[in-house]
Amino acid sequence: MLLFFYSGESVSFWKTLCLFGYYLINTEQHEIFELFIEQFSLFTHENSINLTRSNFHDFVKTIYGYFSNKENILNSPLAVINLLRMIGILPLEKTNFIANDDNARRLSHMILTKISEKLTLIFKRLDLEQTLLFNTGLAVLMTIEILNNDSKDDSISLLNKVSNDNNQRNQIAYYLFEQLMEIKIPIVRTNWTDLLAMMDSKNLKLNCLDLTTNIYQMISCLEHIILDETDDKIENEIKHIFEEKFRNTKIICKLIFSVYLLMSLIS
Amino acid sequence: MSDTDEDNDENENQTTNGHLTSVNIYALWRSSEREKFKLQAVFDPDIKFDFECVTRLFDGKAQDRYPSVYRLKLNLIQTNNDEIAIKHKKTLHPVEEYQLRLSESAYLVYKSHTKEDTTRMIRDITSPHHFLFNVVFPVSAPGKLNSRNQTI
Repeated sequence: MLLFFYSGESVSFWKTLCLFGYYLINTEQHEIFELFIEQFSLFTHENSINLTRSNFHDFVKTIYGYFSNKENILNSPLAVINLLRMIGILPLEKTNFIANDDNARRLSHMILTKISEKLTLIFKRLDLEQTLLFNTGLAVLMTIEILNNDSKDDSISLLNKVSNDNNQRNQIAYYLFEQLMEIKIPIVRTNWTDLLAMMDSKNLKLNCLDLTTNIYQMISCLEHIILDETDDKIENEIKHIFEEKFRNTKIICKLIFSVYLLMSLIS
Repeated sequence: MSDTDEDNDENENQTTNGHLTSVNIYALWRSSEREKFKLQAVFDPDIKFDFECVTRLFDGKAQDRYPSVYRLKLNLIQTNNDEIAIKHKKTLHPVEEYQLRLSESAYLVYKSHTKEDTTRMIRDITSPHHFLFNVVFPVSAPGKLNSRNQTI
């Protein structure tokens, strides 16, 4: 093919995160990776660089393209840790997070599989100063997995296997919950409410009911929230949320709700 | 055959002028092996260095161009006055700012240079590795080499 330019072309900003990261992980230049991730993070903050939906799409596509082509790199625990930290840097919010992106799902499956294979080794290798970005990155992948109804993985079971030394499991659970609350897509997965048991109940508010898709999940949520029983408004508030959520199944909803309240009065 | 400075050799760590240190600057640029151009850091019209292409990053899919890692190892001297300098033709030149430049030899006849709009700084020489995240050159339309700054 004829090339009009003889001097190449530029690489877009978020792709430099993928490509420098891949290069340093692939060549096992771990000390230089530390300087790189620090400089990248500083650069994004100093220049307030934002991430669009299409940036996110390109990012997961590029990352998945490179790492799936050389998947054996990810047999190294440190490689998995550093890859997660790269994902953890992304300033994700409701507007740019594409939870159902195909490459994001493939990426999530590939990395979560590696993590479940080498769970103990990875957490043993994790340094304190790597934890924040690692946890954030892991929460992002687990969010993608939980919202994928065709997924073969189970993030909640995986999380349950993480040791809670240094509060590690609870911290990841907290980041995962915050991420799910940020993008606020109701969750079909039945066991997601187990997540709430891993969290400090003071972080749980009634608005977590927004994530539920059935009455059992709602009841399960309510069991984890400490309600101020002296507050008269609470009962009405819960009743209102129930009715909003299950407008079409009003009668049965009311019935179950009454049973629930009755049971909590007895206990 | 290179028109860049060859004086950037490594010597002993300490000179009478100050402390020797080296800094690696990394950039990413999509290119193909067939493209004969140089990525350069220009400190002064006379003081310029070529980046070397360390590796092209393959993801298993055939493409004309691959994202490629470019690296420039600069041997610098931190002078006794705490300035950063480069040794060029046996004398020390203080350096701070530089510009990236693409230099292409088109049709064997003339050279075309494209400079980046931004000026960069060597800021922190305590870190031996510096990554550039926003390498962008003002690009003319395909085939229109005339709109670039040329030297014949």
